Amino acid sequence: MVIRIIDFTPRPSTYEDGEMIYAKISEAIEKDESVEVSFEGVLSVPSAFINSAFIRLLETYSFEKIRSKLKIVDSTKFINDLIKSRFDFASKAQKSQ
Amino acid sequence: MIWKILGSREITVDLPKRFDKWSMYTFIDSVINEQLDAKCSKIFFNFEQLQFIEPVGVVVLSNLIEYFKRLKVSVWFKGHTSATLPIKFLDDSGFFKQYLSKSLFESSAIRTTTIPLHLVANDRATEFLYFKLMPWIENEVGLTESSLATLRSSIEEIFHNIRDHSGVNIGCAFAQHYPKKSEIQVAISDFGFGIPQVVRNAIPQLTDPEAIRKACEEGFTTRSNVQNRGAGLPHLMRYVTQRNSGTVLIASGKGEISASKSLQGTKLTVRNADGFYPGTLVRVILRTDTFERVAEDAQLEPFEW
Repeated sequence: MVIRIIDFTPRPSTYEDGEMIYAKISEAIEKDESVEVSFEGVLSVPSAFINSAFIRLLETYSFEKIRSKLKIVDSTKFINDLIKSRFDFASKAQKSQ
Repeated sequence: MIWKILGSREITVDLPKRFDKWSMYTFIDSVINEQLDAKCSKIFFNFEQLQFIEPVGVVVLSNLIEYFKRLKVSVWFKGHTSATLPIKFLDDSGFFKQYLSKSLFESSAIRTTTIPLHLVANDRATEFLYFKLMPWIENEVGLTESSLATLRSSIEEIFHNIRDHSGVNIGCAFAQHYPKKSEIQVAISDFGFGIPQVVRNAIPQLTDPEAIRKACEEGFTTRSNVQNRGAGLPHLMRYVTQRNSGTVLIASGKGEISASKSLQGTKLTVRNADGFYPGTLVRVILRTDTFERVAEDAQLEPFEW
């Protein structure tokens, strides 16, 4: 499955914008399918969008499972760094709980 | 919250000679108290002594006027009819047009170095950033469209913070380019609950500076909004300081925090404020001479876990 973010929201910004993407990713992982999320046409997003679309997945799936099923494409250095740093922080926080 | 007007008297308040972050507290204290009650029912803002006003001064003044409108305090201007440099600057910035319905001088026009005063409703923040603020900055420094997309989403964190925590629907924004200093100052403020008050809902014993420090720790959330993960303000401060070499100042209640670049990363300085700030003020100073580095962050890069 390929999810192109701008097909769902032209200017991804808020937590609500990310929820649509989260729902699609969850749906795929639930079926044990791989999912590709494309940031085509999107150069940057705030943390709320990343938290909502991706980090929330940790509430249901392990980081290993997410990493094995989720592929990010057409993304910028900024987006990549933000996704990785947020996953890193959230995974550590989860382990320390 | 219920705000009051304390007394029916009228007062005249002089704008400070230099209206900036340093003089704002005394000015605010002269018209409202810490419970956000107005100290009078009619107020004259006297512009006579004003010699210089920074973006912070513009948003403070605007927020106060907007606040008094809600309280039904009558606001009047004095000493604003001579075309002195600061009055002309405010007129060119659309300030008097906003509050007197028309500009003071026929020759007044928005300067290329200014993004005029905007009262930004929460649901219009994205639009303001995409179609006003960022195109203006990119045009000012001669960069192509979307080069500074990463700064846009970092500043967007401020508007998300207003939306999620302040309890008000409007933030006030003003920005000024200082080409000789290679700086762009962006000031955004709301007169909502303020960070200390919101943080103390979760940790009651904290002082205002401690509460602001807490709010800027990654992962701390008051859960005043279930969607929070405590990433917005830390991300803003980290990105602006480390990638742009800029600075961020947050003033709220009786506390302040400032972020600047250091050898170790981002240096945070927390302190007691010189007064009380009703709501939250964020001042971002961007370095225009490091924008190329910021633009690199908006380049495509393969993602690897």
